[in-house]
Amino acid sequence: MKVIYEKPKSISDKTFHYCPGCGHGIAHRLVGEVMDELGIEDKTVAVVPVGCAVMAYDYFECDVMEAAHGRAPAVATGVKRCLPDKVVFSYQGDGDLAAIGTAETIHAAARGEGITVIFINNTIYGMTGGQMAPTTLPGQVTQTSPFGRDPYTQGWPLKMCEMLSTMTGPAYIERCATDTPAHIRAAKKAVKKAFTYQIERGAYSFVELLCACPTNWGMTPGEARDRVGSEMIPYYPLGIFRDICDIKEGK
Amino acid sequence: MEYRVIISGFGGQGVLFAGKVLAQAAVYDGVNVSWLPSYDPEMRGGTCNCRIVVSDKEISSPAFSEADALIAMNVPSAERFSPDAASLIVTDAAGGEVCKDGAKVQVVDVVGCDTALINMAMLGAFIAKTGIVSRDSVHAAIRSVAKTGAQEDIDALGI
Amino acid sequence: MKKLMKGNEALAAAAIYSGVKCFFGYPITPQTEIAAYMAKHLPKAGGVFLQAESEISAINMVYGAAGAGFRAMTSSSSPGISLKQEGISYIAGADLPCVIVNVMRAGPGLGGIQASQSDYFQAVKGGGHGDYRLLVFAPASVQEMADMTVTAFNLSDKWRIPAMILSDGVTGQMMELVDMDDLPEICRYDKPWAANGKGGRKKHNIINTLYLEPEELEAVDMEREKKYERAKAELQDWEEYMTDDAEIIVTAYGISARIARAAVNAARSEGIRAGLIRPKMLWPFPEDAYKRDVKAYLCVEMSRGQMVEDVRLAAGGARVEFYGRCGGMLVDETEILNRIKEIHDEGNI
Repeated sequence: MKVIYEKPKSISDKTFHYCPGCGHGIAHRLVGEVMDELGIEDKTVAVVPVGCAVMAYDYFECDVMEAAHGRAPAVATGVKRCLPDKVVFSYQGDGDLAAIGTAETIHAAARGEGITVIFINNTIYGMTGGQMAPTTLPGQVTQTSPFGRDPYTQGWPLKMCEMLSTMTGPAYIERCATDTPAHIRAAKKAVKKAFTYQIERGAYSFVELLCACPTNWGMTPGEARDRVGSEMIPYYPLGIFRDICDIKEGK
Repeated sequence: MEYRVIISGFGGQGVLFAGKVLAQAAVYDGVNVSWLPSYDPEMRGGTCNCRIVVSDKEISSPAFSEADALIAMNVPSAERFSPDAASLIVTDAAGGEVCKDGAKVQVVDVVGCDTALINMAMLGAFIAKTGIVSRDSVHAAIRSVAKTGAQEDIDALGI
Repeated sequence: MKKLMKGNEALAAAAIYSGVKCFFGYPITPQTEIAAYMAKHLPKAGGVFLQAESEISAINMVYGAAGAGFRAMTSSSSPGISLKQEGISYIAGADLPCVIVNVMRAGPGLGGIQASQSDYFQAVKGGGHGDYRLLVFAPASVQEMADMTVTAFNLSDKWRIPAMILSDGVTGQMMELVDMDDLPEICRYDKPWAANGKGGRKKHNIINTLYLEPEELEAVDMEREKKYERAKAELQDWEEYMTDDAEIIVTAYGISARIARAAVNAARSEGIRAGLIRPKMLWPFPEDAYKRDVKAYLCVEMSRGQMVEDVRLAAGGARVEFYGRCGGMLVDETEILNRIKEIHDEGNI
């Protein structure tokens, strides 16, 4: 019997707790596939966030550290500085990375820390039940922006790829989406390239994945997937924002 | 015997250096010593001081308010600390004028003295007066503590 | 050979001697010499110095390095230690060893920059959220700044309890003679729990503090509590001075204890049978030191009275008096002596 599709071996057998249509399932799988393909599961330390992915330590088969809210880049820095030959990545949502952890995010990037950051942007706080995130779009209704986010009183969304790409430290920054098979394939390439930059150049790499959150958006998985394309991508354009090494993805 | 000294002046005059030399000299003499610098914001360009305790017994506290002696390298230091000095104030002519108790004052003539060496001139006068550390020890201490120009410092001591 | 060193520098040098792999710091008076010393000397010793973007980042870097199985350290002074409380709670919750240095200055808020002892509660009673403890060391000399740093790394690794050196501005800033050639021995412990890449291991290691099932979390907490109880039984550490026949015992830690000792000497020379108990560790608190028959204890602190609460608990029903200064003021030898005399005279009426 020929196997044509299976779970990556870097992902455990534990059943995901994520909602139907949630982008985390896709993002986890992409990271798992890349770990498998690069053969790095045994030398990787993942640093997982506070938020919906808080229990990702049960899903990744590599060694894992659970960080305090927003502190994953600092924790990853501590690991990488001790273990420069190991692969270290942080996996963070938008509240974690772009609100409470903004300082850690920016300064790890400024140092060009040799880590890979996987950034899940779904424009909302998921774990706590759907509050306004730093990436919530103008007009978007959440529990804490019940009349729609008013940028004049609640601030404008942070565009992290654009912000970080003004800096000298990062080697590679790309924004991808998880709404269509083509976008997911592109995302896989980006994740693999990000890890490759770390492994081959000891460089800082950052991949933002635009993801759906059907539950907290109050949509069906299909509607939520469509919103990624119709509302998020126009505001958060896809593409490579910084690439100073020009390494081809994978090997 | 426990002897407490305050050395004070402007930042840049070598106040902390003079204190370190005195402390290191006491080490060479084989007695106990502590050195405590001021670390107020005023150390950044304002007045600066350090406190040295020399003792043949265990030193209880490196911090103190009442001193045996004061080395005041500028007028503000003489004004501020002279009331705290029980028996000796080493300072320049201008500093001596603001000290209430003239009997304690030993004026060091620093006219024409290289400003970078006033600290050593005053330390030398202090040691000559008190004999709190030996001449050999203070010379050795300067050679140990000074990064450059040890001989100039030693010459400036005048002892 | 003994040499003159600043307390902060002796502490940093002792940490390098202990094999600290990383130091993550942030500037704040009066502890900055530790970071400066580390920046200069740790890389030469094969370690990593990194100035973090904040105290919060620094302690979380410690979490990462400690979780990866390395000796890691951070230092700060009171306001910065408040910022670190989040990370300290996580480190304690993940049972990670590390050393945190607090060169105390006066609070609350920005407070002042002069020496203080007003972070006792924060260090000993928790500080961060949750049921946890730190091994808390109270150095009273430059030599102890060095010695206790070595011991803190050893015991923290052994017990998997984060350690804190609770020092103060005077002890950190002062220079006195220290023998760096006669430091305690370094003890090494295996860390099979470290998340450092699976290598040949079958199962992945997880450094974690999250337990969503209350039964599970309670079991973890209770297990840790047993460890704390063992630490209380084994680690109490204190120094006594002239206590054998003492009827009034002064008790103080750190710089206050040095000044109190001079007051005890002065009292003795006036014929008062005074003594001193100096806790060298504040957690576990040396309760056993206070089980004795005395007229009164006089607790001396540079705070409005924090350790005195533990002295009262330990002393049973014995009389416990308090004398303290705060705001960055040092306790005064004469004032301590006067309190000893007052207590002594009252007793004779």
